[in-house]
Amino acid sequence: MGGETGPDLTRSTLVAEDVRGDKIIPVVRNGRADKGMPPQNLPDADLEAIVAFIHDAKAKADSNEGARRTVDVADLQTGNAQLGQQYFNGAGGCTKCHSATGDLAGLANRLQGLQLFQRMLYPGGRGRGGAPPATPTATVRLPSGETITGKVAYRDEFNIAITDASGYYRSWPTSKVKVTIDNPLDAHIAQLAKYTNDDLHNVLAYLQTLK
Amino acid sequence: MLRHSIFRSVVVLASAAGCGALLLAQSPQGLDPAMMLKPPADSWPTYHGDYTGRRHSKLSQITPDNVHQLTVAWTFQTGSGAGIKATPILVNGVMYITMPDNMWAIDARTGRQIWRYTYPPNQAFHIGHRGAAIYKDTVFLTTPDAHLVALDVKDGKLKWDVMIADAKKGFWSTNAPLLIRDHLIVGVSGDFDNLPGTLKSIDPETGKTQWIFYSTPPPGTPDSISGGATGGQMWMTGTYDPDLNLLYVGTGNPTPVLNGAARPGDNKWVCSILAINPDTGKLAWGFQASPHDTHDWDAAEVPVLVDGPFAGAQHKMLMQASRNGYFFVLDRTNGKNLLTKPFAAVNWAKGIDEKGSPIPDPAMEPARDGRLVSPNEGGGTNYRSPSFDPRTGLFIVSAQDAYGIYFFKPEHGSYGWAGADYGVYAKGMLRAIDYQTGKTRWEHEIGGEGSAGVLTTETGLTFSGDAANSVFALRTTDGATLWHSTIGRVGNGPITYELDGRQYMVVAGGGVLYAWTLPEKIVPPSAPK
Repeated sequence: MGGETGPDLTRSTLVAEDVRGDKIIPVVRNGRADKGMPPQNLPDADLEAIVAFIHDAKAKADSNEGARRTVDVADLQTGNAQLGQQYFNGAGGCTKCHSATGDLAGLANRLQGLQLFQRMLYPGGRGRGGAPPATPTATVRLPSGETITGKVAYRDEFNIAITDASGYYRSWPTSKVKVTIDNPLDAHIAQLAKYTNDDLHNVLAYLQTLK
Repeated sequence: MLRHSIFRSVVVLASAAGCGALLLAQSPQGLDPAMMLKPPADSWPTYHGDYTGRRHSKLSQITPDNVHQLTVAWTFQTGSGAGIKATPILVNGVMYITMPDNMWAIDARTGRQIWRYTYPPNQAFHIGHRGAAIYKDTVFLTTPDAHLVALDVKDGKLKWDVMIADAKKGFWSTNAPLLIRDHLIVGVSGDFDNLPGTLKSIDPETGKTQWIFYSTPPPGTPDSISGGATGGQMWMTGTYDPDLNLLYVGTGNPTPVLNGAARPGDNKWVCSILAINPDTGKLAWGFQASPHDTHDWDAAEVPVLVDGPFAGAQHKMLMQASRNGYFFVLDRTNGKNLLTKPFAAVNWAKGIDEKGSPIPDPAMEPARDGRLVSPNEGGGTNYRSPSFDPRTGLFIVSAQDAYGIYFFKPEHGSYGWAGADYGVYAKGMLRAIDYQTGKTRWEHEIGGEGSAGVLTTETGLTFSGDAANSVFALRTTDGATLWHSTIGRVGNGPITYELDGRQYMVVAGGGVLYAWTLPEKIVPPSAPK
């Protein structure tokens, strides 16, 4: 079972980090449009009840003998940092976008263990504990020939929406415009099929040295 | 005045209908089990629409040329924020739709609620619900605490309530039961405890158990072939071949789920496609889709029954796009494998064995420091029903290319989940598989993880939904989009039926049912002079 639709909140990092709703309530209020979760306009009492319910479910799940287990930082220390650095600078192609002394400087102080591992593989989640995830950029060519570039605010088969340079939300039907997407995460997606098991753990070991 | 006269004529009609029912001594809302062999166009009497699981309709009013004209005939609001995952069933103009603890009977012409049944509050697992089943004047609902309740089709009143499995031990049920003559086949779920895979045949008149089939042995059974594995729950609705008198059902993953060392060997019959005699509950044959699964990839997905050519000879086939990312074609008379091909990203098998089962790569078993495995726990596909289109020979399924990281260490133990796993990335695709080659003929991007089932029709239409809240119609030959509407999360399988000469397509967006049809041709009376 599991993986049917929504994520299991009893295992969510956000829930684990939540203190009396400081992380959960904004998500419930604002929704997550990119993941199909609508905003909920609920009274504070209901929001507090939801937070209490989620924490209660998590406590139950954590105490259940047959429930999903956890991963410790110590479990992930099997890689070779030196080989990881070679992969990072060479075959992995990581330096096309990243720099150990630039965007990733001090990374290991911000992210550890499983969280670092997950973000290394695919930083498509929310920007908890680290730099915000890279958002795709869209260039939209209008029928007039004008082009507008901005961060993708929404995208599906039928619609494209961007936040333009002035901060305005703008949307078009994809049938009326020509859209070019530049997604910096494409390289992470392509890499998933290329990593060997050693590569994974070596790069993780290397990233853990970036303090 | 006008209202009054309409009201009177309704009263007269209602009396006439009541009289007819008395004369026939049979409710106009009931289902004769023999009808299941050839469901009429105005019905969808079981989860898959018929026994084959093909979800393919002969109805031809809605076509590629006019599908863009579809308009909403009615909507039905469950009032629930949770999405509908169930496929509705329809008999004699009344539709039955379910959510956990709930069933609604609604008028399939208008969407008006006739009655609602609510099961008493319970603390069991409310993950979702697949749908109802009907037998004569009784409609059935499985419950989160693994009971089966029998309701009167006329008013939703409770007839009886029996326990299918013990919720205190960790069982729950989301199952849409399958009616085979006077057997109601009911499945359960349960992954957080080491429980035997349990499928029951229940007498639909009385609720009495007729037989129990165990996919993994109950405690205390000697000479286990499961290698110590429990699990293998049959939580999805199976299919049935009346000529062979065989029920086909897929079994779930083993428990402990991620700890493979605790249960050496293939672990029969988990992650398998099984053929069972519906009268005796005896196993006729089994085919294992994932020997020694350690990734939660049950083979509970729909076993679709197709008769047709394969490699130059006529075959009675069974096809399944399995959660492990492989598409299987079997000879359903004996379970012999005809084809095994991946339909989604996979990196966990070393090859295919002589029986057609993928050979798991031990290097991809969950480990202390994590293994990056494709597919993820959600699988190459999941409970979302596929459809088979006989005209093109295409098996169309909501697939995903996905990666997850899987962990296990001895400290995780050997009970229930016994490990940890996390999704990394998933991309959803509707894929049309040529069943004779296993090759994808076309694919249609549907965003993140898919959630919708598929329906095809004889006119060459494929209905499904994407991850961005749209229901759409595609051209079955090439997957081109012909129509769409953004209605909310499409979380179930669309159905179609014809009433009063109009073809309807019904699908759920979030907690709302939408009925689509072509615009009504209304001839207005001549204007007063």
